[in-house]
Amino acid sequence: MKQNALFDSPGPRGLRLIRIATLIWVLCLLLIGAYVVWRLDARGQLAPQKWLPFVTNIKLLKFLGDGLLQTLSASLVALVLSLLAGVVLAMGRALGLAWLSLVIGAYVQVFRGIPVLLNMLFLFLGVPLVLHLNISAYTVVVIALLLYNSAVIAEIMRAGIAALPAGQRSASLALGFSEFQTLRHVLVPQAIRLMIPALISQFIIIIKDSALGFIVGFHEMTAKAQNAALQLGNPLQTYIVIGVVYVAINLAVARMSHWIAHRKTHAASGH
Amino acid sequence: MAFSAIILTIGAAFLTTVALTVLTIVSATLLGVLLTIASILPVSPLQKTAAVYIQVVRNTPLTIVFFLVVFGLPQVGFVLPFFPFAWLALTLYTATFVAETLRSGVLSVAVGEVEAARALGLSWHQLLASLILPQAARSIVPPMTSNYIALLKNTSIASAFGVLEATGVMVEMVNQNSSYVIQIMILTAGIYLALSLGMGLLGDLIERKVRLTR
Repeated sequence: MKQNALFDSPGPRGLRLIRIATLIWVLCLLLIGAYVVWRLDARGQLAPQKWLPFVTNIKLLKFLGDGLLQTLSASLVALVLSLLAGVVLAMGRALGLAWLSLVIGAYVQVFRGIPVLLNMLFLFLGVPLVLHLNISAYTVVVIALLLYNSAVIAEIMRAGIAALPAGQRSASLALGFSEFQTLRHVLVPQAIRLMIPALISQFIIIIKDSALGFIVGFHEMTAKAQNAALQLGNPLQTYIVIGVVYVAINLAVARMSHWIAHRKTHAASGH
Repeated sequence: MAFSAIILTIGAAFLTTVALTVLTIVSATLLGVLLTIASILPVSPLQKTAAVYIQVVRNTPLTIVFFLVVFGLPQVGFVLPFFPFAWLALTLYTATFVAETLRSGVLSVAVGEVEAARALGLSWHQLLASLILPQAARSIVPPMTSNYIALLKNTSIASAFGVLEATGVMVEMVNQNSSYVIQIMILTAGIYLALSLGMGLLGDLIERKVRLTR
């Protein structure tokens, strides 16, 4: 809508151009679609027996549903723990102790800078080999997600605290609150409210990253899909179905974040 | 294996990681620009195609994008080695984030400025070259840097799809040299960290170059 400023309302020539471009693009889409359908059909990929199990095979649906529950469970636990850890890290950094800020700053830099998959592999390979401990795949995934996302959320919270008016802190200190009490009762609650949309978006990233769990043997949705596809011989169809489930979940989470952000601006502008 | 040999092997594997990152930066940026143009031109089916593509792909886990590319493309007649498959999957995924960044950069230019420029009689070309692109360029440098750093880290997923880049080679080294597990892990993490911090510094440098003191 804002984009309209880039273009005049089209005149007769513009309208004709737009109509021609529309026609060409729709033709292109139809051609691409037809080619894909033709190739898939030639390969037997559109055969009903490749797709129907996702509607009729209750055992398969239950199998994949279990995976979905694992995905959601690990993601939610990782989100809640990362929120707690992120808030604690951000508070530690805002206290004004030089050595603590340095340690937390280093933690944040390190875990934002290395791949989540590397965290998972470190725990998956390293803990049994070096510490001689057994660690479940669920724990590996949750801790790896926690290490990365607590660092990211610490940064989000830091930005939230920095975005508050400076008077909030001064007023709180003037009222006799200590630095810690100021953070605990005045700054952090406001910063969390300010950052709710960003924190919810982080949940989408966690859900997507949890799909890496299949690499370290965690039986979440992607791993289950891999198993099912191997047995049924329909990898393409399985991954399309699983992909649709992920997209639906993430779009729902994104919508929730939009809704909350929208509701908040309304409340702030005096209902 | 001596530890010096391990260092060399992992170092060489990082060349693959860097190659995959650089190639994908180029191709994902190109595809991202195309998606941005498609989502800005006043041709409704183009806009819708771009919007649907961006929404769907950026909400799909990269792992699933990899699976779809690896199992889907051969079915429609494209059989490629592991590396090009990984390149393609990373490109398809990263381009959506590039497009979102570019689009918000273009939209960050105040409507009033565009209207003023058009009232002054600037042509479409002049409008883009002297008003929109320079301003958009400034606001997109930091988010674009994060996109590219995320891409560097995402190349590690290619290790699960047959590409012997740094993460894949690290797993091999750990499995073959049980006495150096911690060293191998710290070395690999350290190089990833150095690369992503380096990219961050480069981004800061570019940001300072293009920043205007107002």
